[in-house]
Amino acid sequence: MNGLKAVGKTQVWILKNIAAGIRREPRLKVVFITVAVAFFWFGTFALLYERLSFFGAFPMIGPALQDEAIYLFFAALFIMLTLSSTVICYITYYSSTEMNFLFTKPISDSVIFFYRFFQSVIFSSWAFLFLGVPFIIAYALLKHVALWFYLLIPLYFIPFIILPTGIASVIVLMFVTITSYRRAKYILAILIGSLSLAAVSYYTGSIRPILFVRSDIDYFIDNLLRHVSIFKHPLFPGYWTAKSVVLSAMNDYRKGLFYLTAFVLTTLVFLQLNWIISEKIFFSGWASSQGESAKKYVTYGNDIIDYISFLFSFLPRFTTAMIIKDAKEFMRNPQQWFQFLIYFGILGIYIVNLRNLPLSIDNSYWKIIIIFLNLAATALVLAGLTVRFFYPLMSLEGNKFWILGLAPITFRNLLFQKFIVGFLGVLCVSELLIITTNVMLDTTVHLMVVSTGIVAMASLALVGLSIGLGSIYPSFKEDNSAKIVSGFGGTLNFIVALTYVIFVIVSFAIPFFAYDVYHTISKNVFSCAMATSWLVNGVLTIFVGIIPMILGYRQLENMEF
Amino acid sequence: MAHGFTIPDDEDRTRSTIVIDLSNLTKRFGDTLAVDDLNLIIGRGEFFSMLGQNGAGKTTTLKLVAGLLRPTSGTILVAGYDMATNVLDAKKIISFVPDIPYVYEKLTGREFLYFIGELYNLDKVVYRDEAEHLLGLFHMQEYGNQLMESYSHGMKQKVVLCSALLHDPQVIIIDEPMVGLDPKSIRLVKDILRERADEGATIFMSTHTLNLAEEVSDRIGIIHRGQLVGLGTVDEINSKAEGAEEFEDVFLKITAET
Repeated sequence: MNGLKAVGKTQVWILKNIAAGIRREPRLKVVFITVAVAFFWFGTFALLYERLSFFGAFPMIGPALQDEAIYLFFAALFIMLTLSSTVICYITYYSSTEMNFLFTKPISDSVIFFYRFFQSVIFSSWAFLFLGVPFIIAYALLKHVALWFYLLIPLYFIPFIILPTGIASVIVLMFVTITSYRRAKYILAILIGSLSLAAVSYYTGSIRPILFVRSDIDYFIDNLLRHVSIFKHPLFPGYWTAKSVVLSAMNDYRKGLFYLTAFVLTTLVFLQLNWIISEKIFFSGWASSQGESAKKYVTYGNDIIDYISFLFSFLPRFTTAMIIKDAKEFMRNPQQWFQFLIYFGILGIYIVNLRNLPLSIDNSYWKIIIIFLNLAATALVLAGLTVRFFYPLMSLEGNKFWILGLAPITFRNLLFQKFIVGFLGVLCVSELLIITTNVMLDTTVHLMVVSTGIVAMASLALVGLSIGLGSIYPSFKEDNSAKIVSGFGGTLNFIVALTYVIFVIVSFAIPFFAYDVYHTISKNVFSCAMATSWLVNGVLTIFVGIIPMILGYRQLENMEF
Repeated sequence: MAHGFTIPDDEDRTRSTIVIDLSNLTKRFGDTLAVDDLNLIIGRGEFFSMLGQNGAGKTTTLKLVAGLLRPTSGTILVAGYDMATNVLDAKKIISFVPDIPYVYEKLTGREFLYFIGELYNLDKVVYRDEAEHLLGLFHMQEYGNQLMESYSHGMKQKVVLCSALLHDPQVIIIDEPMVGLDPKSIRLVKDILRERADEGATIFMSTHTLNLAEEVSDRIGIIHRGQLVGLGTVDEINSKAEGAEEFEDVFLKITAET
């Protein structure tokens, strides 16, 4: 176990060095990130608390509904953790260059395995702190539990984050050994994709939008309870933790302990199973993964590249070359399109769920509410899309930036290329989305014009903002775009984008409510208010989209490689 | 002046054309002085090697000349272009090969060369022909359609070398060119660079390999703690090192700390 102690110590040193690095960062930046993290944590907590209170307010069945929410939450989390752990274990065990170093050292395979295993646990579950903890605290507060319930929270959570990784780890070890490293990747991807789709379909089937303009809430609750019952199967581990939490909150600690023990014992069994399997097959699987043919040819997508090349042939050669290069990199990176598909999958589910809304309602209050909520949803998806996919664009040039730094091109051209591609792409997708949903919602011509105008403005501002901030705060040492986004610049990008979207939508919604719903202003005042909104938001759009681009350009001009 | 050596006055050298002209070049990274008041002139068709220990300032100097870094003070002229004011024109005739060949891993070797051809605005037919010629020269044709993520370090280095030669540069700046290359490729690179120099291109190379510098260079500069402490042909440098017989001894004597 000396080896484990040594690698463990190394991690402590790395953490200490990171902490020292943070102390060297500008104080304002550290304060900003801390405030942003706290904001998200408390925001999540407030949202969950409000939703659980909403459930609790139902006469007779309120407390039971809150418990059902706990079952559903732990079930969803358990499935999500298991699926994400599968991907993380696969990458952590077989794709890390650190393994080449570790296997040359006099450390047993099992020690190396468990070192990587616990890294996977941490990688796959840090987000749990930002979702699981606020949820259980909100639940505990509403249930008025005893103080020592809070002390038990780590006891529920620690095994809960280890077991999914334990299950995923066994699956990955077996798959890589039985098939091969490369084949396992495709089989696992198909498996995870299918399971995710099935889970999302089932989940959306059970949690249909609450039809607050209709009175069939009983139908909704009945539907919810029917779907949740599957997650209360006595052999489903997610149920044991949920049951333990629910029973402990009711002061029935003895029964709660029974379910918790069942979970802990299962976790220990899986740890033991991992130990036995890893001793036998971990190294051989890793070694064979290193020996697989490394030749990688381009076997797909050339027609699309030719089409893109033709489509953008009117642009300067450099711009077209960069577009084609970016398109090839995107198409050949399954991790990127997997996340892209998730975005559009969620959008698809959203559009399908729109059918559940009362599309033919005459009540102007609800009509405007729904149309502006739809607009907000579209703009927020747009904000998420631009932050996730356009903010990292400049950083992803990474250590290859010397190629562009050396070429006889200006950074103005480079920024313009990223912007024009992003803007045109986002504009097409978002306009298509807003027009489709507005047609489904049977909106008026005026609201259609306003919606499409807002989306056009938002596309320009959000793409400019993401590319500009991505150039101001590039992270060239990181090649994982998800990690690039989670830095200071990405967080700032998200907050500014969110604030912009809220401001624009609210500033347009107010005149509509005042005129169409409350009739507190005349038509002339409404026209005046709308003109002002267009003007103010037009200026704001230019400010939000263009200023970061100018600052980003200056930053690139002064950059050294 | 350092360690009893006199740095030859470059102004006295007769050259048809000055291609690289560094005047009082200084580069600081925070408190660290990487390049300290460097003066150097390199002529057309000259093969110049810069030697120095780790952290002596070789790579920094090369990157300054290539326009990847900006000087703290001093001027850099490349083929008469001031790198502070006319960098785009200079870049058209410069190529740079870094010590670590970072490339777009999701492109094939051939696609990477085509991409470079587009960046330099070369004629499509010309750069495609030249890419094939260079890939053939480096025995990389059969790997040209493989993604570069599957290449070894040496193969990536070869593709980067191909990309550096694609636009027929007048100035080739090259940092540790032989790292990761097999003996056959090392011989090939030496021959190609020598040939290019004989045809009039200026080669500015940094290396740790003393034998390589001795073998191919017209002149050598030895940099130590950011300062040029030795400059001249191998014979000139050797002749000024009292008591040292081999070039290796000369180098160690010049760069000795005390």
